[in-house]
Amino acid sequence: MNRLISDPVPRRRSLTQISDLSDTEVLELVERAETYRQMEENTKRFSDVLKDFVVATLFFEGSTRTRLSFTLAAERLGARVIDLGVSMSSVSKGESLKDTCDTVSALGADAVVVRHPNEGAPLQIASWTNLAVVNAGDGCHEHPTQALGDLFSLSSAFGGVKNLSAKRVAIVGDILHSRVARSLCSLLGRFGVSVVLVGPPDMMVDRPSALGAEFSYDLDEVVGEVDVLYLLRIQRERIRGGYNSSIESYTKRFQLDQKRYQKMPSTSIVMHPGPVNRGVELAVKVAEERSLIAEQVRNGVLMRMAVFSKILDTAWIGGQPQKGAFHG
Amino acid sequence: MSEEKIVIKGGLVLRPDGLHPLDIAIQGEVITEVAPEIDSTDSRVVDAGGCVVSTSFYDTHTHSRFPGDPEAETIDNLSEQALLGGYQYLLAMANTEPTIDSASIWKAVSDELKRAPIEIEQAASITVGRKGERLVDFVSLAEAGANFFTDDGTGLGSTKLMYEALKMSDLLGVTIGQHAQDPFLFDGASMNLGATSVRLGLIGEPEVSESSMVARDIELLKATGGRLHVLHVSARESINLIRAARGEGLRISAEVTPHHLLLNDSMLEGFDTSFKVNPPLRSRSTQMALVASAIRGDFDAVASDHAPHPYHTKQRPFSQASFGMIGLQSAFLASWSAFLEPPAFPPEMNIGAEHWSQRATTRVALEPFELQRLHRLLEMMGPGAARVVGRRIAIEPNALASIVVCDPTTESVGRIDEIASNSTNFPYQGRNLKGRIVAGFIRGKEILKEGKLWF
Repeated sequence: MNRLISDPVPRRRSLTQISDLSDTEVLELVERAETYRQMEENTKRFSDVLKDFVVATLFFEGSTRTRLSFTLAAERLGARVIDLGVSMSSVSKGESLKDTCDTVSALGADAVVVRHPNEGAPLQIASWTNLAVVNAGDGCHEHPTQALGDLFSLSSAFGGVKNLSAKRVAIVGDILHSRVARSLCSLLGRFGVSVVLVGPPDMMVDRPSALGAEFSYDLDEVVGEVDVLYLLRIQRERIRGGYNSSIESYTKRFQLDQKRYQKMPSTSIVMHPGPVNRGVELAVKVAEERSLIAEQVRNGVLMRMAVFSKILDTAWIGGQPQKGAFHG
Repeated sequence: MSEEKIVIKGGLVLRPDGLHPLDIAIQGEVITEVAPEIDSTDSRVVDAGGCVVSTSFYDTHTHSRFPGDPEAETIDNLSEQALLGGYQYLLAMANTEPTIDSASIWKAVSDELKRAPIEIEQAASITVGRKGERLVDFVSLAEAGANFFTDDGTGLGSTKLMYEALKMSDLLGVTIGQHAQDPFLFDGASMNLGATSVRLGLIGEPEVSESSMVARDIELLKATGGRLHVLHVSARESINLIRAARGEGLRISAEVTPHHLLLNDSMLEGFDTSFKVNPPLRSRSTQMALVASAIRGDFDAVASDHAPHPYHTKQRPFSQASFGMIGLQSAFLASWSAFLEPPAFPPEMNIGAEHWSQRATTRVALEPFELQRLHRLLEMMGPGAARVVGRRIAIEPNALASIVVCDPTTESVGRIDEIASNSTNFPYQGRNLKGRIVAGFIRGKEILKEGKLWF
């Protein structure tokens, strides 16, 4: 709305969707996360580059795991984290979103981590306020830090981002409602990964090509030639109007079971953003060396540390005087 | 007659067969003469050099928000925008609070609207409360004076009620305006279904939601007689259906909005709710198809679908923000900008080049094919739109002198602070727009001078 009125104060940098980042910036984030991994392994201590910064978490939709991951990431770098408990009743009409964000600003927060059931809410907050906004999942739109963490995990597993070129990743599940799938497609395609989306027609997006991906309604057709099988959580609570497929017909066609697991190439990897619905999308014990599921959680924290330090870094904020400096 | 005689000189004048270098003499409320060179001794001269002179515009689709929502718009604000935009007439939709669904409400509201400096005709709803459950009392509304019935804002899903409404239309000689949109396919949608909606994760409405209802309504029209106006056409297939129905001699008319001609769904990438409208902005290729159809003459009218909303209903998450944009004052500019976008089509390059270039282009600096398009647009904004509501207007002797003078070559940047609305949901903020409304007369009275209100 005031998108064209020029702003005298340089705007803070936000991460609302993958397209906010250049390829170089993505690689910097992976590198920085790697630095944090080494610090974690060597000393378990991190520099407090975010000392005096206040990070607010604003979760309009429940998610203990994601909020903890962001909180831990910010605290490890010395930031003070405040959580604004938002009751669902006050946001169900959506009217208080701007007011809530004005309050967060007035409290002196530098960055706000937002999870919201409505697509685009973090972008709107970034345009209404001068907060650095980190999208922690907005409706069916994006979940950029999850995808960045996953890229970091893939990079580690395959020996660098450059080795991901021409790798084939199948994302399986409810593509239509998956923000993780959208962020992954937007991110992985840039580094030469070929993505195939797999799920039943009622869970498939109308134009997979818009996400730069191929698609298939048949997991068996895909499973034999993947480098990575990325299973999505089947979230019944996200479905508007209900599936046509029953859980039984879904599992029959799209569950990673013993038979399909054996059809996968022996070097291929299984991923999942968690938490896993055992017996729904996954019904097999994946060998430890072929599962990145636990690693994804750990790397998620390291990547979120990288994101915080990067978006609150001077270079990303147009040279505004900063409270701390990056020493990592 | 002691009234002042005014001569509008030096412009290109809208005639049924084209734009012609003519002068217009006005005395009192009427046009007294239209001729190549009118003697202006003892007359006040209005210089229309470099401009086109048209009948003032008719809008077949305005949301007045009266009664019910003065925070969004008032009759005064609306009238001001209409005059600045070159309009003499607005058709006010029935989705007000309360709904215009009875003769008594229609009469009371119509009486209030009479105090506006332009004519505002009130439409009635087709169903009680626009709920799609029960028809309004057509007979008493028509007897009270209602000519146009529409549930605009919602498609009338019930085939039976639409069938009954069109029979009423045939019986009473009134028009049914349909917001063609299948309620099931539209359910939950906040934008067009396409590559952008897939990327944004928003629920999209497919074009077939509109065209399937247009197809159904045409079948109903054949079965019942009656007169159907298709509001804000936004789907490619709807155009084909309407053309075919017109070819069969059915009484059908159709309008297109400036925003569907100028904007497309890629503009929603930033979740800017000022681009949220119903029917939604379509793909770039559909947008271009609509422009080509409009130039070719498939639509009777350009209609603003001016839909003001208080800012706080737009300052919500995208899927919860209100549908609609303001666009009355900017309708000519937005449409003309859209009309200039495509390069000349082969047929346009061949038709009457000598006719247009030698006589017309000496007065307005446009290419012959551009002048042809301008003629088409002015036809749609004036006489064509008037025909939709059963009126005949023209620039000719003895006609009422409701005239607008437009400069088609000036460019400006859209600015909400120049729009006289109470609302700010303006989609052309910062966008380059072509054309300018320079002067205006309503019934011989000069109300707009150098782009400013004057009365």
